[in-house]
Order: sequence, then structure tokens, then C-alpha cells
Amino acid sequence: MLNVDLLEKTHITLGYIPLTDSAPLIIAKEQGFFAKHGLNVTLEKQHSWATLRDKLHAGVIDCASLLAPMPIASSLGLGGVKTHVITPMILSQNGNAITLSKHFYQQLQAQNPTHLTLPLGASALLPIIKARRIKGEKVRLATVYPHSCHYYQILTWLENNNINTEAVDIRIIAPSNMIQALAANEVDGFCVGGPWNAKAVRDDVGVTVATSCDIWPNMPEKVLALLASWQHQHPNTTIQLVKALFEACKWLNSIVNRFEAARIMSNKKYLGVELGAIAPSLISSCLVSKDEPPRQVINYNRFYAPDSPLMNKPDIYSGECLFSYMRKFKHIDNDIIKDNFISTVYRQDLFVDALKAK
Amino acid sequence: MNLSMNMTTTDNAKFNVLLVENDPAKSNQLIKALGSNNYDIVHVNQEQLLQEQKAHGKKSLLEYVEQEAPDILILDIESPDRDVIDSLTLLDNTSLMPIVMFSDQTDTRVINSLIKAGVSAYICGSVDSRRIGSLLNIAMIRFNENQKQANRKISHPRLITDPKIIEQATQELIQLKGITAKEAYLVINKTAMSNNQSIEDVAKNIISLAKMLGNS
Repeated sequence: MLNVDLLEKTHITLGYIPLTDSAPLIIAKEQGFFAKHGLNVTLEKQHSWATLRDKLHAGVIDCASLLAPMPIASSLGLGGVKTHVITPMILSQNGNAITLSKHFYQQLQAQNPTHLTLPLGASALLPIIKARRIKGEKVRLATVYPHSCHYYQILTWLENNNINTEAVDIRIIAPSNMIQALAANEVDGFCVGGPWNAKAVRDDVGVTVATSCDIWPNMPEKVLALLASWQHQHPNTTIQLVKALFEACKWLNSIVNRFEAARIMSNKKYLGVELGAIAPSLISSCLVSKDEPPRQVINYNRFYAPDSPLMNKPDIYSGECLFSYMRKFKHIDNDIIKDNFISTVYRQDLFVDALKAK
Repeated sequence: MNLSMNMTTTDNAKFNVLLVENDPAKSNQLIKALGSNNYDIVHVNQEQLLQEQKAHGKKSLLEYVEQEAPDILILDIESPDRDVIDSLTLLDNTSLMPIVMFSDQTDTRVINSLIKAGVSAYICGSVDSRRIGSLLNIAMIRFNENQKQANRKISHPRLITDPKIIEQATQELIQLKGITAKEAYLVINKTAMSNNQSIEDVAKNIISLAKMLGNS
């Protein structure tokens, strides 16, 4: 039995950005997994990754669901004040996709002699990149935050097809403005998480051409993030938080439950987006366009892996992998990092402790 | 110490401020607090911009920022555009201007902890107009110090001037010389440069000078 008296803190604030892969947090709250572990968690909806990070750094909130590279960025002081942030648990894998504007996709179809097949390789963009270069213009792609898998995925997508990343203009746009930016042709495409890809298709402004599963599958996407000092002061609370979220991830493994999760999340209190834009990715369906059938993408949103139950463990390998992308795309200088740095941020030991604990 | 001032036109005496805020109630509150004597304020409503862009192909927020080239950008900390503006620094590795976060949170505990955590500069809606000038000066001075360090690629921990000292020195100058906040900023900056002193030393000198003159 859980001894609530051992919990250092029971009223917890957890910050998040409303996205499809916020499911573990919302489900842990709505299905009573937090309560079962003696925790009264308030979910604090936020609209900017940097502000969410700053609130975590300042201790205004206790913990946050962050983009997987962000604890590394915080601990190195990239883009903000250096603050030791850790993750004791990976909340999700995959979930992102590249959606091009309908207008741009039609141009691609016209410029490419062969029929376009999905998932689309970025080489299909070459005729337009060349045509724009003559006019002194670039193809414009958007993502939501620099230290994000989205950003590294879109650059990887280009590089895998031998496109110089300098040939494309990558800009940051707030998720809630992405669809409007696409409709207004401010950008030609974006790489974001759900529900924004499916929403662009539903709104008939975009065509989803590739998912993160097609670019680099099964990498951490969102992680539970805490200040190292907070974990130190609240070791038992941390363990129960991880246990509750892990149970929510397991619960989300059932398809029936995923429908229920989509229904709950469409509530204005959470995502406030129609069910039709949230549900598809949760049931491995990638909406492509109004005119084409959806594509099956296994593990489009992955929260738990029955065949590898340590998917949620923030192991050194996952951390190192993200770290290598951060280095490759020049967010990190080579010479400033200590050898054991990743193991001080991606704390697999805390996850293992949580699984063992009562 | 030589506190020289060569302000010729009144336009130069004002900061150009770009205010990005979608909520009219919040932006009015802030414009009122800033006052028109010290600041030329251009207010951008991002929601409105997007609508115009959709209908007439007008400018995006980033194009707006580039074109206006403001001295300071003020942004609601709760705005989704926070990441857009932050990315100007992160993607290019250069900062165009100091960014000041605005919040209508009245909980000072929240604001104080954010300042302590190093969120560049931070103002809240209920701040009085006398203090706001000093806060924007702190933002300008810290921005310049950061830029200098970035240019020199200094890797040791940052030694940034205590904002309280800048704030106090700004207040003393405004009272002592009856000048605007921007003029006070220029005086501090110029004195530091011409005397080859740190901002902190100049600010401390101003404070002790003011005390000597019985200003406070």
C-alpha cells in the first residue's frame, strides 16, 4: 500500500502545451491515476515552450511535459539561463509529421514528372527550390521550437535527400497559428505534432506527406521534466508521479481507450479541437488530404510498448541520440560537454527506482 | 565623472517600442503605463495581422519586427508568439533588440521568481509609469552586456550588472536632470564607454553623486 505520509508534496502543478501527445497527463488526471498515487495534480495549460520552460526554471510550476531535447538544452543553458533540468520518464515517441500547403503540393505535382508517392522524399522539392533560387527566394518551412525533434526531423528529412539545409528557410511559428500561416501561404509547409497535421487536412489547407515515423522512428518526443533540485527535495513524490504517468501510458495502449482519450482531449478545457483531428493519429491513421485515403502509420503516437516495456525509460542511448542531433545541427558546440553529462539529465535510474517502488 | 549629454532632437529622446499583444485590455493598460512622453509605441495585434495576411497578403509578425527595427520589443509572456520572437535569437545566434516580457499577473512571487531565474526583464501590468522606464533601461543595458559577451565569446559565467543598481541610477538621473528614461540610458552607456568603465561602476558613481547632492 502507498503510504501518503511519505509524500513530500501532494498538490502538484504540471505544465503542458495542448497537443495530442499530452494524452498521458490528461488521462492520468481524468482516469484517476494521479489520485491513486496520492497526488492532486493541477494541469496548467501553456502556449509557449519558452514560457513553460521559464516557469519550470523559476519553480512557478513543479513539473512539465517538455520536448525531449529541452532538458538537455536547459542543463546546458541554450537559449536561456543554465538550469539543471532532468527527466525521469519518457512520455511518448513519434507523433510529428510534415504537412505541405495544398497550393505548394499542387506545384510539386506539376513540377515532378513522376507520380508522387508517400511518404514523400524531400527530393521532390528540388524543382521548386531551384526555380525559387533564380528569383532570389527560398522554400519556407516552419516548426514550433528550435530545441525540438520537429526541428531536427525536418532538417534530417532534407539532408536524407541531399538537400542543403541552407537552401530552405526554416522559421518558428506558434502551433496555434500554423494552419493560418499555411492557408495564407506565409509558409509552404510545417513539421509539427498532432492535432495540427490532421487539422490542416480537415480544414483542406494541407497535405501530410511524411511522418516522424518515416524519418526517425521511435525516438523520445515528450518527456516528464523536473528541476534536479526539485527531485532531490521530493524523491518519493517523483516516484509516485512516474508510477501514475506510466499507468496512464499503459492504459493508452488499448485502442478503445484511445478513442476515449481523444474524446476527453477534444474538451475545451484541454485541446479544444474537434475529435476528427485528434483521433486519427491515436489509432495509427495519418490523414493525407481531402482527396486521398488516409495512410496507416503504426505507432504514429506511441505511449507504451508491450514488447519493450522500457520504452518509457529515459536511457542514456536515447539522450545521446538526441544530443548527437543537437550537435549535428549546431545547437551544441563540440568541446563544452563532460563525458557523463547525458546521464545527469536523462535519469534512467529514477525510472527504474519508480518501477521497483511500492 | 563626466555626465555629458548631446540630445538635439526630441525624437531621439524617445525609445521606439514594438508592443505585441492580442488582448486590447492588456495593451491599453501597458500603453497607458508607458506614457507617450518617453516612448513611441507601435502596437501589433498578431491575430489581426494574420487575418489581414490571409485576406490581403500583408506582412507577417517577423517582417513587421524587421521593418520597424524597434529599440525594445515588449511581449506578453503568455503569448504563443513568445517562441517566434525567441527564435530570432536562437536561429541566427544574434539578438536584434532587447525583449521585455510583460505579464498582467499580479502575483509578485511569480514575477520575482521569473526575474531570479533570469528571464531577461519582466514587467507587470500594474507597475507604475515612473518605474517602467527604469525597468526598460535595465533590459537595454543587460542586452548590451550580453551582446558584448557574445561577441567576445566569453565562456565563463556571466557577470551581469545588478538590475537594482541600474534602476536606482536611472531614477536618480531622471530626477536630477529632468530627462527621459532613454536619455538616462544614453548617459549611463556613453559615460561607461568614454571613461572605459563598467556599467555597474558608472551606475554606482551616479548613485553616490546623487546622494552627495542630496537628491534622495
